[in-house]
Amino acid sequence: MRAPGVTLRLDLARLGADPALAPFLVRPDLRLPRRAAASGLAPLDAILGGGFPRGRISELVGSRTSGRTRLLLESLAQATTRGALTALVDVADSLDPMSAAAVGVDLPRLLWVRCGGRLRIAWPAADVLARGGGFDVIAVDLGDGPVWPLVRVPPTTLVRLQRAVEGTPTVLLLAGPRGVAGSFAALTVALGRGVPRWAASGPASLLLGLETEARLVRVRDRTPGATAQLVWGIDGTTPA
Amino acid sequence: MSLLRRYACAWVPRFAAAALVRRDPDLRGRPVAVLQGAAATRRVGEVSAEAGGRGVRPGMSATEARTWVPDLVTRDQDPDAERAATAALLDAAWALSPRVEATGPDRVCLDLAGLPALRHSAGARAAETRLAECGMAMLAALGLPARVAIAGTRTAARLLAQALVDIPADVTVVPPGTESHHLAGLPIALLTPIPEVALTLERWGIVRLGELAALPRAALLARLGVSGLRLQAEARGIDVHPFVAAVPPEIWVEALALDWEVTSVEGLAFVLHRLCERLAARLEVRGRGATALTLTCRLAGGGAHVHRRGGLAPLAEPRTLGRLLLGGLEGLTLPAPIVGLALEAETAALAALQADLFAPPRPSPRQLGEILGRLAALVGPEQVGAPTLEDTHRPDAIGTAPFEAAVAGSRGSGRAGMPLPPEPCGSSRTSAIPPPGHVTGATLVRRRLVPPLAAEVEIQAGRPVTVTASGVRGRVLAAAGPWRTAGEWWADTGWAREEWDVALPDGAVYRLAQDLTTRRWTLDAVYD
Repeated sequence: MRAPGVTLRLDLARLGADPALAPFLVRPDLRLPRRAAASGLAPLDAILGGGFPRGRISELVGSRTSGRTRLLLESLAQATTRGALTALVDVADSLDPMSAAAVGVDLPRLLWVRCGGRLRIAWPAADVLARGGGFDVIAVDLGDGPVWPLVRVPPTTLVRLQRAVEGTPTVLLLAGPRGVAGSFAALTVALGRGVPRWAASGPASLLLGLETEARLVRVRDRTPGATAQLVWGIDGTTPA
Repeated sequence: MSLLRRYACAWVPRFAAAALVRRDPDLRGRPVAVLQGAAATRRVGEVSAEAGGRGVRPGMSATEARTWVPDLVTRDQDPDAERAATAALLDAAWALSPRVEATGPDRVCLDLAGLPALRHSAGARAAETRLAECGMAMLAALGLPARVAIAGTRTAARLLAQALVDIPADVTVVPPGTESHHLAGLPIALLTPIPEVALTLERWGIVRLGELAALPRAALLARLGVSGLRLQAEARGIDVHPFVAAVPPEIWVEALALDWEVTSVEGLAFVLHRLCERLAARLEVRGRGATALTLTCRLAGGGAHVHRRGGLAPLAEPRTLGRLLLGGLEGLTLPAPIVGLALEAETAALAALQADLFAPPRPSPRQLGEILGRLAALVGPEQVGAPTLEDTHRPDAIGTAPFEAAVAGSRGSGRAGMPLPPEPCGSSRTSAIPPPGHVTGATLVRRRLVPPLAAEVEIQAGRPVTVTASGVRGRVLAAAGPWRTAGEWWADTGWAREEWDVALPDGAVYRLAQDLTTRRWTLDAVYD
């Protein structure tokens, strides 16, 4: 019998770690460690804590030539290589299938939804995909258009998306020139302006590669601010 | 050794009323009368069992019938509903036997010869009883209360089934060779003789089939002619016509004539769901799924609106079918209210798929079909699919393939826990651990600008020095090129281009291209 005035405190983390008790705990957070989907880039995965969290919204924010599309395609390639299905809701129809195939995306496993520049139908399309289930990664490429429509995305839309993927093994990636999900995103990666590397100046110049910096600007279970340097070059060359 | 012939007959009593109840399930259990004839002289044609039991008879006027039964529900005869009910009846028959004869809109005859369960004499009767009960249950699931009988001839099976008119949920199985004995006690009215013959037989005191069967053949021929002999043969359970097998239809149609006008999506959803339920039940019975749906809305004052939804994985779930159709009708404005619907399906076999235990979870074909259908309703069918590359270097050689076909074609090629396929050339997913803070990658990724941005380019010494396009303007900070490509000069799709990689003041690197035939410059893509 407890002494009066003594508060019984449960160490939930300890209970969750006990394999004998885990099946009886109600909170899924305590039962299962949250899984992550590798982005395919080791330095980025290092600062993400293994990759993009499943069952959550993640954001990739960057301007043109920031490497945003490369990161998006790397994530899709990583999933399709495992045999999983992926989907890309493409607001501006800007996917270059040749680039995607070159990065390693298995094109038959990528469902490409072209919105023809209509941002307003991208959200219900993503909702259909998220609620339908069965896709490992759902990416929404918000395009490079004007920023003001992205500012006006209704919070209810984001709540619906968040609820749709919650508790599922799906990674929902939003990629655009600015963040739209705010606190609904579990993770936001901002990409700095990419620095192109040229072989030489003058008539014989050649675009060799691209260097950019990825910064973790929002994350729930760690301190944001970590950065990773990402460099891509053309076959057989090393960017200067 | 001769093959023992066995036939089953399924008959739907009060067919017109049953078809109406199938069309509108809310009428089940209520007294229903089907009205026939012109508006001024409409008479009761057929009645449901509930109405018949309370005194409503065919030939009464609608007013008289309502006097007998105040809560009587009267409906006009619906030929569309009857055709759909006949199709459902045949579907159930084909689910049990490949040889089926449509002997009338309300009955169907099945050849049971060769069915595995009936090959052995021991327990054959029990197997036949189970088969008959299975058929009745199947028809009940399709909304058709039927009577089923099994005998050695089609005529005997038909007469025995019709004798069960007032005995619901019962079957009759007659052992081989005893057909005439079982038919002897049935009323002569089951043969539906022409009125003159019926009157003559009544005057003779012939009221049972056994009495007609016992009459001397020559005397009967002398008095009633060939029709009398035919009646006698039927009374003995002898088939007078050869078996004519029906051919399964390739078109699946369910139709509905509405008694009221539909003006809202909610109302349409209500009736559409019923249509889908009926169609899905028929598809399920035949083990098929809809791969394309065509909904024809008949409008008041003539005209019709046709809505088609194609490219589906085989589906037989009514809710999914309904949602797919409604998804394409949202926001639609029709010039007049809807007074009738017809739903037609193109079908394919429902394949039972075993999920791959080693592959990541993926949507089932039905889930995928629904997802693709809803996406197609949102963005357009041609905007959804798997990206494909054509076998050409033409810059716009991009297309899409049906996603489900692509998935089926690639199924099982990647498995968790199995050796991974070769990495793409120079990809960052190499086994070597990259140096901290860096990745080594090979391919530079481009984003297409759709449509390409028309640009004005100033050239000096053969190189671009300034670029002006919508939203992009300034001096070229760095440039690489030109890369010249050309091809397909023998066809209308030929091209000849000169391409540059240019860095502009907005910090981005673009793919700048000049069409060498038109000399026009465009910004085609941006490196990202």
